[in-house]
Amino acid sequence: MEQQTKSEQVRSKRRRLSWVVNSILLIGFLGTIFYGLAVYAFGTEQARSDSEGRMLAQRPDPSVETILDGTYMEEFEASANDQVFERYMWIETQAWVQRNVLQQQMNNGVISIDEFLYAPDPVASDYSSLGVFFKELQKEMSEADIPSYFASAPSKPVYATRQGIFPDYIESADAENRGQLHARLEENEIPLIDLEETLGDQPGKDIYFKTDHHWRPEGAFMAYEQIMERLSEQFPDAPALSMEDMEIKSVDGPFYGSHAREISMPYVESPDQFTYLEPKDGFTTTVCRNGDDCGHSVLDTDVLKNSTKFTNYYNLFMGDNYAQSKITQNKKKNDYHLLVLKDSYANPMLGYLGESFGTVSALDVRYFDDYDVSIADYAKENEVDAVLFVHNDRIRGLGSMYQEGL
Amino acid sequence: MLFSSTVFLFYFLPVVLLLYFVSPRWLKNTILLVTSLFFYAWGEPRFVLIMLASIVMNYVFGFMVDKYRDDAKKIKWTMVLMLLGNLGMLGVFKYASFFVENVNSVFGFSLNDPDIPLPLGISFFTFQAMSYVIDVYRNDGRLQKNLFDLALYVSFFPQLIAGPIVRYQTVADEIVDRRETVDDFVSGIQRFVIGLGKKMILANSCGYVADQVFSQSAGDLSTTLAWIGVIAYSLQIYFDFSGYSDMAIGLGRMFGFHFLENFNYPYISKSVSEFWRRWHISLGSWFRDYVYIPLGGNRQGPWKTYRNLTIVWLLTGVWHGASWTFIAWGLYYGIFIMLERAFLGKWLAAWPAWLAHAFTLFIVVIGWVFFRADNFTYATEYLQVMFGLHGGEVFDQTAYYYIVQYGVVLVISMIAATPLPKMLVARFLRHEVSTDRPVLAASAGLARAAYIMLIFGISISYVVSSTFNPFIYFRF
Repeated sequence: MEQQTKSEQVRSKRRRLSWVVNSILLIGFLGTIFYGLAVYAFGTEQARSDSEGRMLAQRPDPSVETILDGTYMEEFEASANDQVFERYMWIETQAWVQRNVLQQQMNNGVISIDEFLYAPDPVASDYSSLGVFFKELQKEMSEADIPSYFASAPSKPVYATRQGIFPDYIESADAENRGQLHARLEENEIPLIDLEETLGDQPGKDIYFKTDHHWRPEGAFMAYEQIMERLSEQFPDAPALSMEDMEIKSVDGPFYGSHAREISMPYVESPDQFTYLEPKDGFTTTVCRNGDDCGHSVLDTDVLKNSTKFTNYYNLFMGDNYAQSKITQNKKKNDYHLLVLKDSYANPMLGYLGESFGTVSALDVRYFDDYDVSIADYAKENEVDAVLFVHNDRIRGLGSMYQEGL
Repeated sequence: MLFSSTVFLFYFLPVVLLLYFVSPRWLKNTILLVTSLFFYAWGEPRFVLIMLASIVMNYVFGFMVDKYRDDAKKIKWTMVLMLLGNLGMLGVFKYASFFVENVNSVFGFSLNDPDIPLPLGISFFTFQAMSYVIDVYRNDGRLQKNLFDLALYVSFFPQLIAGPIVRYQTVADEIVDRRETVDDFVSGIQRFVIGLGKKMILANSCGYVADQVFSQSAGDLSTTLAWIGVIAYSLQIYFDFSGYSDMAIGLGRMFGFHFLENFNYPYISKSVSEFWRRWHISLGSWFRDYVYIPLGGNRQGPWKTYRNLTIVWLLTGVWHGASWTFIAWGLYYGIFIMLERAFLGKWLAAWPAWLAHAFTLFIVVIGWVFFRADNFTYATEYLQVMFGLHGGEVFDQTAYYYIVQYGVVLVISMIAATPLPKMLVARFLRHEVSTDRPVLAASAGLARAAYIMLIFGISISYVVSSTFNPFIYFRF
């Protein structure tokens, strides 16, 4: 009898334990999937992901046509992915597991080394497409008697390669690619302003953001000084700013740059302190964007308002990228007109160049879809005095764009 | 729709579970049928008609074999028509382009490639439908008079896209009469989560490595990298497929269905024959019961046995895909299984276990090269690199990178492909039924729940992060 009672007690304990475990699994599993459903069905849709720097897909409206051809399903899946509850928390969790459990050193092509994030490019390129463009540009500019210069900044991976920062297992063709770019310039007799001469010996923390692929405005300023020294032969009346003229300002709060957004937070050891340089008396220029959108400053302080964790403060410089920007001195110090062919690397420098040249035009071929412009026509019609490329060496994708944009 | 997608996890599955469990018993099969058709239509709306045609055709054949069972002539013609109908449909949609391409190549014709898109899961649902008619013919399963119930058997979403190939006799009773229990449901959750984890955490990580390696020209690979690539692929295909089977079995269990196992640690096999008893079990048993044995199996002397094996393995290769590499892969296994039957099996049995195991793994891994390669040329070149016959490097920086970056996940995957983790977990979880140590029993039970929820959370993180798409425009 006593044995039977004991056995019954044991069974009862087992049942209770089984009930508890089953309840945890049922609540955990069903709670998660039903919560996901509820958020999608009744929650407010997010419009934008700052961490990814893009607009998020929204719930599509069904129609017979889109259902039959499957586009509704595709759009629904895209919105389901983008609007999933706690999206970034899941992404960070995955990155955490990847880094701390699976010991993967890289994520999305970015590696973290001593607080700095790098995106080495393992693909070698001969820049032949850019070579074709350089040749055509030289022909056009020679006819118009406009000299060209190419200011070549070392990208972060090139700097890391030269400094021996990358571990042995990291494949980086960046330094080799830089050599190829310079070879194409030499072949086409475009004078090179090799900014590595100035930046190569500087401590990395002084010239590059830790978490972004861009250089710091301080690094851009050192490069500006080298460029001005070189251009002074052609533009003797262009005044050059010096570091003593500048004031370093800081943005409150952390800055998580493009690489931090790519690799995601578990790989980021510390954020950047975002700084920018401004002449002590302020900038004395006005900017027009894409033709007639005028009245802007080279520092777009709107970016600093309503900032979030992943606000891209780099857009402070020139207010982001535009196909065409024109910086005009409020009181012209000279009549020089410099045409800068650039990508976002050049943005902090444009403000400094604007203080030196009466007019600085900047064309960014990546955005020519937004504004109909031709590089050669622009240079001739606006009677520019020189063309200056400001790029880093990671521009192997630009060759065809430049050819089309010429 | 994939099980490992946000649409399935957070929209389709909860809606189906809700509809199913609030519905009265008489409506449950209808709910499962409608949602299964929706599941199929999600990716391929127009191909639902093909699956419905297959269902109706085999529904009619079921009646015919039941009616003509005792009429030798009519039943023969009915079975021939059934085979022609099903295999014809499979042939048109899966093999027409392959057929035209080869006819053009051999005879110098210039027939137009029909370029017919492949309906998702057609190989699986066709084999299931055929299994129904054959089982009815053999009296292994009863005639299904309710078209909707037969449609549910063929189209039930857990096993629709990637199996396991559920034999009609396995679920015939459960289609009309089943009980859903909390214990089954929880066990289904556990199985589904384990499958999701296999797919998302292990298969996809290994798959990334395999894709990167196999996307390169074979001549550019070092020997070490080629081995890393094929090992990664071996692990990917196992965890991908067995993970999907686990999810299917788990989902079935949630709704009261009990599918048979489809994988049983194939990479611990000590012979190729054993490997195929552990790998894609539902396909192997389908061919054994519906092709090999009806052909006479091994009962008509050695030569007919080899003939039957050749046919079965040729068909196994063809079933996997319309390509000569798949056919070669099937015949490759057929040859080893015949060799094992002739003499190799005895040798392997006499060898030390580790040697037989290593030999089998070696054969299987080499076989995956044919399975993964796009064509024979690439497969041959790849094998040359694996054995250092290409004159290239043995080790390079890229191999070093993959070892550092993916070494841990590859090692974890290798361990997970053995029964070791399951044995360790089982050893710990046996305390759950401990009678004299209640604290330990409770800890084991709670640890099981925590482990499953942890895997579920990590799997979701992998599902969501696979959609992470940072727009950094250009890296300048």
